[in-house]
Amino acid sequence: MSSTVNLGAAAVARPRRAGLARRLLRNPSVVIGGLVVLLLVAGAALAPLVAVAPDAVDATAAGQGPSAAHPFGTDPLGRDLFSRILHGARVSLFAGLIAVALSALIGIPVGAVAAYAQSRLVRGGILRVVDALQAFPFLILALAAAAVLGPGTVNAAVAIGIAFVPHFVRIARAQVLSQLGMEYVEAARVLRLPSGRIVIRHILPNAVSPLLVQASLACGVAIVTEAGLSFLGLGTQPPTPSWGAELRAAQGYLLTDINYAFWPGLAISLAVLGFNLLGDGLRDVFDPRRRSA
Amino acid sequence: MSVVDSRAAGGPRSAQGDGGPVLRVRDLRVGFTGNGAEVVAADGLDFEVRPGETLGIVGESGSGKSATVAAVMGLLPGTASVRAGEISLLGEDLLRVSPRRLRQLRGNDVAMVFQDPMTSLDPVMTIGDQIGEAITAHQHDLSKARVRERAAELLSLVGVSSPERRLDQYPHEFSGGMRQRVVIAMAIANDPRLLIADEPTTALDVTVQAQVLEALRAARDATGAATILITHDLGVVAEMADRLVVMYAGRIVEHGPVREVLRDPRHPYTRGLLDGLPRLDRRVARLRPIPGQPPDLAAIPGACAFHERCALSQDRARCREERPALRVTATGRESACHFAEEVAGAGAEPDEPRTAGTPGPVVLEVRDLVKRFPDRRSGRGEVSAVDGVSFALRAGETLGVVGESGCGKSTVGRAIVRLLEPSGGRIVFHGTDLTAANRRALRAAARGLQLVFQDPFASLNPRMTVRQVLAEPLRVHRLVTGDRIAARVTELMDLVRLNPEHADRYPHEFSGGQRQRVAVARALAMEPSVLVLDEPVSALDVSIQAQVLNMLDRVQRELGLAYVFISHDLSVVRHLCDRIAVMYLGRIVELADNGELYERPAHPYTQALLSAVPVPDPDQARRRDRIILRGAPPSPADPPSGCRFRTRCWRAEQRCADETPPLVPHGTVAHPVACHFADGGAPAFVPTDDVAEKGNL
Repeated sequence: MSSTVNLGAAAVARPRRAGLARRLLRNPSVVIGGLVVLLLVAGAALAPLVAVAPDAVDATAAGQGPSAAHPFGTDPLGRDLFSRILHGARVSLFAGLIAVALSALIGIPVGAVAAYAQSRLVRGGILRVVDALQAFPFLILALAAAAVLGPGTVNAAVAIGIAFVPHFVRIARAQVLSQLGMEYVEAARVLRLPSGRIVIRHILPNAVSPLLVQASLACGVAIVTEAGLSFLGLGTQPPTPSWGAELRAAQGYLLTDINYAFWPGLAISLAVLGFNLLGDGLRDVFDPRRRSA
Repeated sequence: MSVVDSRAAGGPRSAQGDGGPVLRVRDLRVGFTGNGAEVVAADGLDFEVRPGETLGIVGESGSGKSATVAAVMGLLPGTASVRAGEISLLGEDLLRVSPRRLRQLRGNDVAMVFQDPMTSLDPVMTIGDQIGEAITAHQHDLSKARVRERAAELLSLVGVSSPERRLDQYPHEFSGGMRQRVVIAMAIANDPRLLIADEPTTALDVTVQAQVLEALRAARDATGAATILITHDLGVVAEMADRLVVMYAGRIVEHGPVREVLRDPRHPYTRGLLDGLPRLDRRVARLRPIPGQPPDLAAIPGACAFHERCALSQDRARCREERPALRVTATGRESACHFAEEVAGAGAEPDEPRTAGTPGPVVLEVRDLVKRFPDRRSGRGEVSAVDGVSFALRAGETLGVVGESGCGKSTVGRAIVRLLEPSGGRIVFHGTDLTAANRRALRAAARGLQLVFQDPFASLNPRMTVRQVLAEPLRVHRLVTGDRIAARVTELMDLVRLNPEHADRYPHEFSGGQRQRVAVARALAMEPSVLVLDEPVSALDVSIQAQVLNMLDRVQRELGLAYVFISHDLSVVRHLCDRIAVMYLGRIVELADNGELYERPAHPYTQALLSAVPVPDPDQARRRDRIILRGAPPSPADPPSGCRFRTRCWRAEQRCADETPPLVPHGTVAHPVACHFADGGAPAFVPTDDVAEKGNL
């Protein structure tokens, strides 16, 4: 109603949007988290080149601390820990990616339907199922799914993905609902555009930022959960190197060889920290309320 | 000394005895730092206000008026600061005194009224406690009973009825206008020397605005404070201010007594503002808007900031090369124009009268439209937002729908385009009853009914380019196909006077006026025969408003469209509409041709509405008899029986409560009016104490 916008509000909005990359780079959480994630990805990608044989046993150098030949030392069987951690990153990232992709692929469309469906039965039905799933603690749900699917990296990732679906449904639904009240969505309805098109072309692109944040945070949780499942023997199976399985193996040596448990533990912590920082940072950058501050 | 005491003592006290200025601003420069660039929001401002005097500051968005008061109040955001100059309050320079003294000065002697009263009030404290707090903040020794008494006095001073009872209520129990009056009461609780009101009535309806301006006037007269009134509304300054400062691009471009500035402006920008303003008192063929857009503050060169939009400059070298200083002209006015003496007087170019087009066949008929919503507040029952609205619309015609917020005008618009499902009644479009049609038929028919929203910032998808926005409906409905889409997009952009080269830009790269053009072009892509315009220019600045109105006018003539123009702005409706429906609480109370309605309004509500609109002509503003309605419209959840306006009407009798007046012509009144007393011409205005009062300004 007012024809006076607060001083310069309109003028300032312009460079802000254009400078998304700059704003991202100015946020320390995004930068540090991004670097950690980048390091993980690089390590995983380069593992076959720089750490050739994670399974090679060097009996003469069993249970050693860090040295020039073995930067992280060796495990009690004489395998190079550096190689095993690097290869473990491949498993962890793979599991995180599969889990997030799966839950987003199922959760976002279901969430959109839960917001947009004409039928009250459909909307209510989806929400009740989600409620039921969320009544179980996340880890219990993942455990149950993993137990049903059987052990293995892919199965663990799928189990985590399933456990994440309710989160994505909720966030996607909330986002779509908030966009539904926007005038540009009403404008699309007056143009008699088909509902599917309104959701896919108009609503989802504008709802993507919070989903991206959620995906990043979920990736961290997925990594730690995969490690947990592997630790319990429900995830990646030896001899494939995985951080969780390493920790499980190191458990027996905790009192005698702390070096063995230290490196997989550090890797898990770093990975989770990286994804969480990135997710938090993205949230700050995308949040319009924080933007003005 | 209390406000009421001082009034009883026979008039405003004098500040400092000598009548010197309360506030004196010298060479003020306010800068913002944004993205590394320095933006000068205010540059070289000089002004002062004396006790009992009201200084109006007008300007559009980005003119620097808000930054100026923020600097005075010390409320500049962190990215901005006063770069140079002097702000003296009662002789002390605010920029040089200690922080402690600064707090004292601002706390004791300055009071502020903001645009949004809800954010100035604490939702969990009673009104009485809040006013009491303002009183005791500087008068610690008052007894509880005395504080309460003062609070009640203050409330009645600003026109709140039964103040004793009101003291124990919370802000949510007050309407918007009442809250703003409470804020004014709090502002004057300590007899401030300086009262600053920043767009105090911008968020309010016109009849409520009249009440609040009345309260502000009472507050000023009681305290004798120097008042600064910041607004974009020239009508409001004409009524309230003594002197006027016109700001443009961070500078004062004109300064003088309000009457002289508005009657005979000495700066081409002021002249342009007045020429571009739709007027309540006359109707012209075309508005003469200022072309272009306000300059980017970061990029003001060493030239007159206005020269690119100026009708007077004619690209003279001096305007391009030399920044004009504010100087005193021959007529004793201050103007920042090299050629101030050449500014044309009013009526230099005669306005051609507006010719009405010949209306075509009826394209849209709305019969007994009803829309009820479930009552969210109580959780049960229903609110009837629209209750039996009927009208017909002809091709090439513009029907205005006016009324205050909550009268149901937007609901009517949304029901027509079927954003809302009507609860009852019929909508017949080109002979097809849309309310009875099946989905397919509805989809096909409803294409010809389009809507343009109020806020062009919200109604465009931020992630689509203009080309995508315009091409989408063309593709989806196969209106044109293949290669011809690009040509049609260009055609649509030309139609609304957007540069087709900008087709690949995103909405945020456009100004508000341009975005609204995109929204209109998008609606036109559907080849509609009826366009519902829901407050299409309310979010735009005055000079941009006129451009968009002229564009709408031209498009209508070129395409033979019918418009339903929904607005709260009676001046804009006066300019654009052929016929006007006045709505009150879900019903049409009067439906008449433009000239008939504005010259001989028959319904008391229409009369009150028209008399409440501020006119940017001080002589007229002060001469007119004003009808100031009491209170705010009742809740549509529980409307009064019979005539819904009767609770605020000065003519109401028992019959009005018993019988609903039909919307029909009455005797000498040839157009439909829903009033029992419409017969025999316009009912005379008889003020009564309870319902309405007549103010002679």
